[in-house]
Amino acid sequence: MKNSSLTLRKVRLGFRNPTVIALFLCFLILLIGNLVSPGFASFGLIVNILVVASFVGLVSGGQFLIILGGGNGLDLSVGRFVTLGAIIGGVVSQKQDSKLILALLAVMVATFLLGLVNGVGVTHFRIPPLVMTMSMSIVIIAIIRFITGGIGVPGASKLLQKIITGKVLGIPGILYIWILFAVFLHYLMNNTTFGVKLMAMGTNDYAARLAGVKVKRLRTLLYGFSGMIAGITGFLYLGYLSSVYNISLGDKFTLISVIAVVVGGTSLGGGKGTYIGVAIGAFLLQLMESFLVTIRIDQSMRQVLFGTILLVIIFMYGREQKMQN
Amino acid sequence: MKSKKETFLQFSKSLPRKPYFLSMIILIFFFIMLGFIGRNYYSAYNLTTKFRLWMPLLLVALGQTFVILGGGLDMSVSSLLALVNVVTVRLLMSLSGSPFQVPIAILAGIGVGITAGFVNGLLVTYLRLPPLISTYGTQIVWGGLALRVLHQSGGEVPFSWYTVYSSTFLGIPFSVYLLALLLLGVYYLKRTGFVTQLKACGGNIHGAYESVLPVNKLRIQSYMLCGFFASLAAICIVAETVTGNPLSGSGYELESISAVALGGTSLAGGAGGFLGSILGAIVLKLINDVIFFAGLGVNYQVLAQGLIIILALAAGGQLTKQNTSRAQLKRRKKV
Repeated sequence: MKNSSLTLRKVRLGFRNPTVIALFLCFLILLIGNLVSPGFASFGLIVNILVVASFVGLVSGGQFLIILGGGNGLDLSVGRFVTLGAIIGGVVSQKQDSKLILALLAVMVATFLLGLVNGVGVTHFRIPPLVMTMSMSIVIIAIIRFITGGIGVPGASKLLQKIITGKVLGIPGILYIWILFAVFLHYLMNNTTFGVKLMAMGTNDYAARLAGVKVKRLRTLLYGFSGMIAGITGFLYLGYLSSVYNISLGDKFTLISVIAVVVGGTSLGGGKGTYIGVAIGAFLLQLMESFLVTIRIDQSMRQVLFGTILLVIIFMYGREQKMQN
Repeated sequence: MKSKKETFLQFSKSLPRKPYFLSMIILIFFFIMLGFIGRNYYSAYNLTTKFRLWMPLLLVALGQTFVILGGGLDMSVSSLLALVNVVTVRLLMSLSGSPFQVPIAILAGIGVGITAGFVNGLLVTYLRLPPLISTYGTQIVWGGLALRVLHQSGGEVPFSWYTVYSSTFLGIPFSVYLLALLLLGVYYLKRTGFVTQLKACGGNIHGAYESVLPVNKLRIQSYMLCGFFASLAAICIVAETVTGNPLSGSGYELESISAVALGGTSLAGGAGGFLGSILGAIVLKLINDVIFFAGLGVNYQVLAQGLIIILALAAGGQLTKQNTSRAQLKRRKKV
């Protein structure tokens, strides 16, 4: 008797789990989409949606780490980091396969260092993350203009394009990269001291410091990682697009990465969330957008619906505590 | 009774600890620099034009200050500006010829702004959504609605709007009178205790709740005020450009938040002031002018803009750190 009520409770708690809700919503949208326009839930289309979602998912990884780290952490410069990554990658590799590794290294170093500047500003100079990262994105756009000088940038090399879009077992390469990244991040969060420290810091800054976590250093590093992850994503995005069509190609990632993190069940206060949830959140957002395109609503109405659905999803589990408690 | 000299001395002693101290110093520095390098910067014509262009940011920053003091954040002001802009223009067009054309359009615009603020407030208070993400959501919604009302920029606004908006009375531009009027309103709110109660909400919401403050009501009101100021800003943009644009406000949300932060208001809520936000907004606008007159290239302009904002914020952070440690020392001495 007791046992059955326990399982019942587990099931009920499962339905409150954000990841489960998000996954459920994904299936729901796929089902309705397939009813409205048959073929919506076909393998090919889902893979296409996943490919677009993978870039959002990768960028959200860095955003996820920062938000998890607490202290009102937020990175509003990720979009510009994506652009910067694509442009540095294009300039260094010069469309040659042999220089691909060099380009990747250049992207990683440059974006990591710029991300560290974000971190230093937030931790050592006590600038609120919101305005610090936003001001940083102004600096990055200036750097981008210095690099390009207003002239077009060489596109992706053949090999890079092949790595991203080339299919193995019917699945494009970028998805394998995403899966690897997710496994890595999951491992990092659950099986290493880094993950434990991060969670401790996100839950209670002060307590973590007393327990011996070097909070400032860790938080600074997080901003570096976020910048680097966004930069690498930009480099991969270059392989997907095959050319840099304008210098605002990454801007859309800024907002959507924050939303994906929240929709994935990570609390903005920090210390709570999983990357699997974030990945599902990224997929859900992309699925929603594709669905709204499929049912042929014009752009303005689509935007209104997208915003409203988003608010409803956040309402379901992203709420703050009641005042009485 | 204190003598005048004493009050002045006290004021000048407390000045470095005021939240707006830093932005004031930067502002004075910029003004002196512009006096040297800006060609005829201080001509009456140039100043009135500049002030007119600063006006929308000043207003949005004022509105944003209410919300931030109350412990919230409004990322939706940018598309709210666009929404009010197109609603006003659309009404002006459809009512052309009627005697009530102008008042109806303006009132409708302000009504939209206040309603939008009310919705934001409801989401944040009664539905308990986190401010950042819920106002991101409404930003998307307002943007969509704006595109629905007017799908591309255009529309005709009577040219008299521009004439009135750019007119001067006794040598002082119309926009200055408008700002003065609004500041009087803000002063009134300060006198009634509204601002203090709001700061209590932002500083310690549980404490405020337990002191029987109407926490939810206060926060909703702060969002409504933000909507009100944003709609006025949108109407100023309409008067300046004499046309409608469904994408007109982009960037204002972050710019206004930086202005508030530069003005020394804590983004966590509970501490700060309105004068700081105004000074901060003017600093943001002056940065471009200073860099322009310094003769730097366009790319350097953008770079310098970002760096100056970061440096100013960093200096502000150091200043508050110093002030808090000084206050702590004092408290310790008393004990």
